[in-house]
Amino acid sequence: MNKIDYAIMEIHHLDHEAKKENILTRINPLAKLIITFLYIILLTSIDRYKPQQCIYMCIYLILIKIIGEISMKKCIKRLKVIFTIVLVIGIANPIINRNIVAQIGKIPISSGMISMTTLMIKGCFAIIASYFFIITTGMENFCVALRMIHIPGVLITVILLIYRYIIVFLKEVQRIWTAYSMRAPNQKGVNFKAWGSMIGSLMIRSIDKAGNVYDSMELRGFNPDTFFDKKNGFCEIDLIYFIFSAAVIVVIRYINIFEMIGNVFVFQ
Amino acid sequence: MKAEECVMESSMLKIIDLSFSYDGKREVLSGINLDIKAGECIGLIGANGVGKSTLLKLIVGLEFAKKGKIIVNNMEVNSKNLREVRKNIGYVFQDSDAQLFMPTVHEDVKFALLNYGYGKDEADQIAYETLKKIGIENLKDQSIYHLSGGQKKLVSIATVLVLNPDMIIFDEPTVCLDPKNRRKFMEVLRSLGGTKIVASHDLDLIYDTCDRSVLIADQRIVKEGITQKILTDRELLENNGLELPLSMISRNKMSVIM
Ligand SMILES: Nc1ncnc2c1ncn2[C@@H]1O[C@H](COP(=O)(O)OP(=O)(O)OP(=O)(O)O)[C@@H](O)[C@H]1O
Ligand SMILES: [Mg+2]
Repeated sequence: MNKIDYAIMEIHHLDHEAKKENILTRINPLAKLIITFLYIILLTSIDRYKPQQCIYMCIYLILIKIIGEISMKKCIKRLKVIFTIVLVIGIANPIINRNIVAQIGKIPISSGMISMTTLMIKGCFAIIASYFFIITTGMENFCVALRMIHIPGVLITVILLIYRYIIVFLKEVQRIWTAYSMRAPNQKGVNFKAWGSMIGSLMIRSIDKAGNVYDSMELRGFNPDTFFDKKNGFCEIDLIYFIFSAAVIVVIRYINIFEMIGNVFVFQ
Repeated sequence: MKAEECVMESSMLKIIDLSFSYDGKREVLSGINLDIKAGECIGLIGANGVGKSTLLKLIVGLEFAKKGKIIVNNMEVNSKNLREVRKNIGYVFQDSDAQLFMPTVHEDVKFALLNYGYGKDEADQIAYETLKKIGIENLKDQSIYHLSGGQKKLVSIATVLVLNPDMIIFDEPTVCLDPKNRRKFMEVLRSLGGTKIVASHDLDLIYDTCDRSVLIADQRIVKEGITQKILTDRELLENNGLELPLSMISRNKMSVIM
């Protein structure tokens, strides 16, 4: 399997996993969207010199992982590039901020190193939370959630089309690539002279294809104003999920659980 | 007045003096007039590039002509009542790749049903039955992007049959199909109620399934009439870039040998 095939398969995998039957995939997408937002906002609001506070926030992720039966191995594999970027961005901190604030053995710890750790943890957790949301919701339901907060149907259609367009585009890349290499068997890669015309025809062809896909959707009764309006309404389970998750997130954010447990033992 | 109403009622598709050009310069179709009655099966034939697909796209409102009118089911095809018009027309694209976009076969087939307000379970049921009708229920959960050319064709046919529309338009339905699936398609086509328009180079298919045929050449309708008459007229076909259906040729050869 070549890289493009693999990429297409990965995109399908996201769709596929969102259709798995478990409690999380059945929850109203808007409830999940708001909870994910809440989590990210509270996570990012943590003081940058308090990495230990950040670590508590993983409790929510662990719960979601267990309830949603999500594979952590696949998650890390898929997100490794983004993780790397987040880690690289964090590295700038210790260079800029060199105040020594503590010492572990003989190793001096600067405030920059602490904020770097916090930033990295925050970044990775936020990405994982978003990934968990998408993988338990799916792109289409994500659009339904957007529609519920009254984002215009046309805009949401664009989002959904871009998502579908990625696959059409990748397929087109694959086709042109194969056609080229069949006729230039002795070359490695694409000759720079052919780049211009190749990218040009790639654009025209994939835009044309995307237009056809939209036509096909319309011919089969697709209407952006009604399509995303189908799964409205919170039911009991959505409400329970919402209250429970919000409570968990607020507790792990504002109450220092481990310290509390520690105190209980000390008093005894 | 009454007689006129009666005629209007039985007419499924009426094309009046239609001319079309993509670029505003070169006309692809010019002065097309056609009347198709409800329940007819019409073959649309002509050499490559004469405008068969273009005519079909005009009928479903994927393109609009500056001159002339198309009336489907007593409704003019224009941007205002497009949704109404399309509700009753199914259209199988010449290029199946362009038609299918959902991740799996089953989801693609039920896409239209969900759009027209069917419940999830009902849509599942109807989609499955349609797949079964065409004999591809085993592909149900397969990814669209990993289907063969012929399988894609069958799935795109299913996506249209699923709604059971009043009129179905097929653009090259048998391309990529193996002999068995082609035969299966012909059976399905015959069993369908409603009006059917089939554009194809598979003249044997047209010969076997269409009551009436329309031959297009030089931007115009050159001949329109009973299929058996048109498809046995060697001179007419050859003058317009076509040949007799294969079954005719072999039949002629057999009679020469005997
Ligand atoms: N999108 C387009 N823009 C400009 N010209 C087009 C476009 N699509 C088709 N044409 C031109 O219009 C003419 C009719 O094309 P059309 O696809 O309708 O032919 P067809 O009869 O379906 O041919 P085939 O049997 O090969 O499918 C052709 O000359 C073609 O070059
Ligand atoms: Mg065509």
